[in-house]
Amino acid sequence: MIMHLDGDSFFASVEAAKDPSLRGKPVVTGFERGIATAMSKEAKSLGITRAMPVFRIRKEFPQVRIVESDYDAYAVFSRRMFDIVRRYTDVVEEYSIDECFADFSDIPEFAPAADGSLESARPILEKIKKDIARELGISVSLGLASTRVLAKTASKSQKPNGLTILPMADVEKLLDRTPIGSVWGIGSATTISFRKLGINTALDFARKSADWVREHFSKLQIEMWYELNGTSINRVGEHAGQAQKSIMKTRSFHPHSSDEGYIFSELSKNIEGACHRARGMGLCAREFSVFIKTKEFWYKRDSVRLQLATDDPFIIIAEAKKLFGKLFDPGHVYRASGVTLCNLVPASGRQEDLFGAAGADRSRGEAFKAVDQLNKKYGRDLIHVASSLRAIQKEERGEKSLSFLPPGVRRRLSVPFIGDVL
Amino acid sequence: MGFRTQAEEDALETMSLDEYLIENKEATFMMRASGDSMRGEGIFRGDLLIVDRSRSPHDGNIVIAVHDGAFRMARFDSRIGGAGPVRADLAVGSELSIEAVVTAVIRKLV
Repeated sequence: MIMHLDGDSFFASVEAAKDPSLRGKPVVTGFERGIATAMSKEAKSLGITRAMPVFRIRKEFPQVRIVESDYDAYAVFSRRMFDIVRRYTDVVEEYSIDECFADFSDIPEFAPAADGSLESARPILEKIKKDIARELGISVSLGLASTRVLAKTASKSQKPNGLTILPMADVEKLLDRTPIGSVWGIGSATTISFRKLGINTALDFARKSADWVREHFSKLQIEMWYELNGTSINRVGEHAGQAQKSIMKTRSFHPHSSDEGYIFSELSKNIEGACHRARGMGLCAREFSVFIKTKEFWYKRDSVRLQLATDDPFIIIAEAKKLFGKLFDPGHVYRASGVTLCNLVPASGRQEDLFGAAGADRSRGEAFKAVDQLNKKYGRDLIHVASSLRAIQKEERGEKSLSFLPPGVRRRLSVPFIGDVL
Repeated sequence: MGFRTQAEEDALETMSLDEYLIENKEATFMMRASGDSMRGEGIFRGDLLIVDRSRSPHDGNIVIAVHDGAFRMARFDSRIGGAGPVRADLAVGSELSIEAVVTAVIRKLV
């Protein structure tokens, strides 16, 4: 049995967990980008949608609280949420920052009863929800079913704070009220071709014969057909990182700095870290953006599209250097730098360029694999790109602090700081 | 490489502060006291607090409550106001919910 967990309005919920004054209010994150990146359910019900400009929200909905995104906090809450699921099973696939799949096949309570009922699993699922609500102060929606596609359909059917257990006997009923376009992985173009064939609901599709599906569709939809009919095709963990849309790495530095060389080395270190993470997930970026943030929280950001998808920090650092030259203004004091790798593709599927430039890239890929192994064995910063050196030396002198720590605290503690208390 | 000396063995027996201060890693957060309301309990302005959201409060515990949309420290006393925490300047019965139990205080002396 497979569980799908989906954090309810995750970014906004984390903000409300950190700041009680936001609870029950319409909250929008993304202040620093000038557009809404996530909304609380109260904000959604006002009609605010992703990417709506902040100035427009301010004008039309003055009651909305617009906050700066705190990706460090989202990452901590995400990791803790998944670690709570790991108390009950080892097989957890982190699908995105706010979603995971977990395989409970080895847990006796999750075996269907003689009549197909899965009710014996309910206490454990309720406990997971309760643990997350109590320990993190956020709510999640869970779906339990025999395949990933069904589990995800189940969790989506009841939100927020839902718990949907889907025994095979109830599958038809749910699929009948699920429009084909809202089945996981079906985009708007595919929806149109489904409609042309007279398929409007997930059930219409599930009821077609295997031969019919093979005749009209390709691998992805065939797999989906099997999963909708209760045959598991993709096991949990096999598609790790597939939905990863971007990899972000950012750090603030203390004291703040206006030293161009130092700030670039901070950025370089972030790029190295992001590339390391990309390699770990078997992904390459086609595009990336960098930012530097001033003391006054002004962001200077620029992005570039790469000729070839890559996970090679040398290539990205070289490109970032050009952007940085344009972004950096010596008249400012800076507090943070960051990089986002986006437009990610599987490393195996990246395109070669016409003239074979990818060859050099490939042998360096082997080298980085070795670097990753050594760093894993001897500590994270044993081998790194030279341009990151100043940031790393400073860290070794113990001058760096996590952004989660209150000002003045310089030690690396593994406990996130969530705020002041009177 | 030879065997470790006794001194080296002893040196490995170091205490990790994380281990000492944290019982439930997922539920533990850090906060900072921004006022002197708990001076009587030995918590001063600027102290760092380790708080655990998974613990059930017992009488006498310092807890983090939410009051008027802000985190407030309070002393938990089950006899007063049902399960609500009380403090002289907080009205019992106003919307108080207990978020966490303060499990440790960290203060630098120099």
